[in-house]
Amino acid sequence: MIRYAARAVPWERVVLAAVLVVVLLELVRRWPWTMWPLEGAAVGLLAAATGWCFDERSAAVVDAAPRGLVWRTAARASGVAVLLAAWGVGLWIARDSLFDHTGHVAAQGVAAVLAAAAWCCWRRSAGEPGPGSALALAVLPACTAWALVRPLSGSLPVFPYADGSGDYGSWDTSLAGWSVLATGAVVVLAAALADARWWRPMGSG
Amino acid sequence: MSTVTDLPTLRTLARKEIGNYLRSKLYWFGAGLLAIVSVVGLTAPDDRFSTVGDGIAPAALIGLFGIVIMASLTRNSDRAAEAAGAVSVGQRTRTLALACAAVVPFATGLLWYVTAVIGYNLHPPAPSGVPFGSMNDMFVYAIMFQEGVTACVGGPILGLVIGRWLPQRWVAPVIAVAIVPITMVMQPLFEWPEHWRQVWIWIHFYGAGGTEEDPDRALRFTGSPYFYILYLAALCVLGVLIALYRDPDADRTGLRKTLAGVAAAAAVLCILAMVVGPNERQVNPVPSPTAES
Repeated sequence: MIRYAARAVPWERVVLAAVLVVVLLELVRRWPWTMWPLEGAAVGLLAAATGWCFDERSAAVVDAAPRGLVWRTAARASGVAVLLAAWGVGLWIARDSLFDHTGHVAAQGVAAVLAAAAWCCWRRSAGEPGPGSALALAVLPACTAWALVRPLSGSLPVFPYADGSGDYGSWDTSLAGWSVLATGAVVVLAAALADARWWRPMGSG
Repeated sequence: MSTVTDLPTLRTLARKEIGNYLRSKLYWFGAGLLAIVSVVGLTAPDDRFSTVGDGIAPAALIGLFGIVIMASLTRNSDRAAEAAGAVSVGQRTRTLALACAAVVPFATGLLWYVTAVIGYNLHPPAPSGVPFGSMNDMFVYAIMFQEGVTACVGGPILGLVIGRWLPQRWVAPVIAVAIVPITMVMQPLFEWPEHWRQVWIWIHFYGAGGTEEDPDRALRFTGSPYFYILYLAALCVLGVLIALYRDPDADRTGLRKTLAGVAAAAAVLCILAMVVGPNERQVNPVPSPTAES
């Protein structure tokens, strides 16, 4: 499993993303009031890099091999562990600048990782070779732009800010949204790994 | 050596790439969010700055997304050409067709600009915002154009350069994110880059930078937004030329001369954007609403 993980996970990209996550949170620590959008960018980067971990360039060969999706996912999760460790380190470094909402911010990152893993495993179970790269193309700029512009922040607070009052977006509402995403992701992930054929994407084997 | 571009082919291919850009889900996601921001700008903009500060929305939702979309379109174009084999259109024509597709984000940026200008006139900013002092409405229109519309074109052109030179799928989104913290520092976040921040691709010419007594006081930063717009336009041309330079069949000697000429013009415009206009920060005489009386 270790040998497979060493070869299958794009470690250069994962390590680059992990370092960038810590750097982004360090910038948030230094200037939380002005650099806060980088927190959203870091969440997007976590999701994107999680996606990269699950891309299977040799899907046509590997999918027919005796090692199943669960085994391969477990091996590739080592890359996700590195990302979550980086997230933890970044949060610990920036803990005094997160407006006393370290737990809420941590939940955003974990939910984003779960959602990305669930999406990729679902698409992989349908035989798609590179769902992670496609996900990264969308989720990374989307999270960054959303964190910068914060549209509908009063009613749809994805990345709340400061004390969460008014247009800063409610931290509790945001946590509820991220919790729903994480719960849905766990269900999808479990169904994908359990090889539940009844819910597979339309048109797949 | 492909120095001549077949115009009918270019026209056909440009139409195709424009269609491809319009089929991008990411583009419509950004355009949808931008429409919401524009409606808010028309109906209930910020009390103090009106729509003057809304340029970040098209820059992020159309320009930043444009980096990723155009890099993807470039890759798709290369894949299609590879599949077509020897009968495919040359890289030069395909690059120019991709550059033509930037008309989609440009038009989107212009639509936002029209709504932002209408919003600005319907709901003028408070005296504690901008404009003040030597600034006038034309200055405000220029900074809105520079922050919004030019970013809508610049992002996709940067995506074209990335797609040509660094075609790996993961590079464009990572660069799109890396640009953000640099931009935040160069806005300027600090005083040290203020006099030369114009070298960067997205900056402010005003802001609630504050003073010691009033941290939210409106300021006008140094430099000229008019020359800065021209500088950004020159950078876009430079980007297209750099993308064209990747073509192994290109007339690189001629391209090098053109590149040098445009780079020199861009450098002159950048210097003018730095030195024309006030050379020191100007402070709004009206205190911010949060100032202690």
